[in-house]
This record gives sequence, C-alpha cells and structure tokens, in this order.
Amino acid sequence: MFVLKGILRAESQEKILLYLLLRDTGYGSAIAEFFGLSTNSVHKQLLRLEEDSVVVSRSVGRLREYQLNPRYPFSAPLRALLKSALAVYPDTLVRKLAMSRQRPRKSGKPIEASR
Amino acid sequence: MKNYSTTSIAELAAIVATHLREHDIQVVLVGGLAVELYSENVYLTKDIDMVDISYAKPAKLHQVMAKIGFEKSGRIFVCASTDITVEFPSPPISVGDELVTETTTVITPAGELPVLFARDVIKDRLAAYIHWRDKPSLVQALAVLIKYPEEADAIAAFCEAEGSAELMVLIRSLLATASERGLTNMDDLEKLLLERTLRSL
Repeated sequence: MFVLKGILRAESQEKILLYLLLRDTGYGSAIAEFFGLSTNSVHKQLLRLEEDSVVVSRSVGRLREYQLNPRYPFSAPLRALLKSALAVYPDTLVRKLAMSRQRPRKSGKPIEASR
Repeated sequence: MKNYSTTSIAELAAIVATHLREHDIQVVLVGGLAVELYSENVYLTKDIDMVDISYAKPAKLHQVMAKIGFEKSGRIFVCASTDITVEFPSPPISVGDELVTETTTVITPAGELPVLFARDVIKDRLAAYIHWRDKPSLVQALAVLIKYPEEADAIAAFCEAEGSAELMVLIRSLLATASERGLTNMDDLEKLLLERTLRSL
C-alpha cells in the first residue's frame, strides 16, 4: 500500500520513513527486507532523502545506519503526517514493525516461536 | 534413551539441571524460560539457557549431556526426541553492570531447578531494552514485575544505576494502566506498550 501517494515520490520512500519513525534507526537492507522491497530502490530513496536532509546517516562498519533528521525544518509536521499514514496500515504490520525483537541473537540459536 | 517428546520445557530444564548436578556441574537457569516461569506466561520459548557456574570443562559437559541424549550441534545441545534445545551461555552471570552472585531454586514436578531471582530476570530484560531499545524485553520485564511488585524499588535503583531513571517513570505508568485494565499476559501488555509507543510518536 502507498498511503501518501501524491505527496511522496515513491512507495519505498513511505516505507523508509515509517520504518525510521517506529524503529528510530535502520539499515537500507533491513528496511528492504522488512517490506519485501528491492534493496536498490530503498538505497536510491535513502540517498535522495539524505540529500534533501530528511534523513541523516552514519557509518557502522561497512553499513550505513539511517534515522529521521531531527534538525529537518519540517520534522514535526512530517512526523505528524507519517503518524496519520500509519493509522491506515494494518495493525499487524504496525505491531510487527514497532514491537519486533531488536536485541542480538547469537548465531546458531533457534528462533523463539512467535506468539 | 529417554523420550522427551511429551516433557514440558520447565520439566526438561529441571531434568537437565538435576542430571548435571549429579555429575558435579552446577547450572542456573537464565533467559526466556526464567521469564516464562516467573511471569506465569506462555512465552513459547524453545530453548533452555543455563549458565554453568561450576566452570566445567567443555568435554565433561558434552559427555554428561550425551548421557541424557543431548548432543552438541553448533553452540546448542539438541536431542532427537524433542525440539527443545539447551544452551550454556558463558559464566559469570551478570545483569547490566552487576554480577549476580545469589540465585534461588524453583520446584518443578521433575525436581529442583536453580534459577535467577525474579528481580534479576527483570533487570536482565530491562538491560536489553535500555541498550537495544528491544520492546519485547520491556514487555517481558513488565510481565514479571506484575507478579513481583515488591521488586519495584530494586528495579528503580537498577534503572538509575544504568542511567535510565526515566525508564522507571514509564514502567510505573504502564503498570498502573495494566492494573486498571487487569492486563497480565504478554500479548495484552505488548498491545499496551504499542499503544503508548504510537501515542508518543
């Protein structure tokens, strides 16, 4: 779904912004994987958003970690808009995005059954 | 070889702990199963995490575990008759910056099971929330704290020591709402935290 079509350039932009709104930070590959988008399109939109100062990034090893730019002049209205868009998304997806496990899991450890 | 296909995870943990104790290996249950025991919640963990506080040599641990049908596979121990796995995280036991030196025991139908105190299980989960913003860990901490409200002061001191005094304000607020609405299970607590997260965006 693409709720803010007409305002944003691409569906992947919307997904990126919602991901960063709920998770605070994210990597391009993780965002692409979560929404089932192509990594290329997510990376392309992240670069555009960074160029326009909507998001900022820092390097973590070989990866770039992105977050919404708190100094973006329209940060508050953007967050309000995204929050409104989020209300249209299915509860299950919002819950999965907001509440998924973030703590590390040792390699080789089985994944806990989900409730 | 014993068949564990109908053995509950808590009973299996007690069987393993008792068997190891009989071979002079002392273990303490930590992790998700400890959360499940204290919160009386169905958390559906499939792995048993036990810290070997007697620092047995790996070869001895492998040998003793093999006697009850568990073989090492990567970093975990697996058994053909159950999908429950056992892992031995490295000692010592610590939560946040604190070393844990005192533990307790719970009684299960299969015997005694050494386990962290409830307050340390809560601290362990809160440390995961503080360091990784892991919301499921906060939900688990709340679920245990609801059953052990007398630990609130110790938890407040822990949050302060970890530089997250404001977290206790959030915890007390969530506990108050949970109490008003009669919420105790993790699913409902997770919905409550989600509601609070969305409101704070």
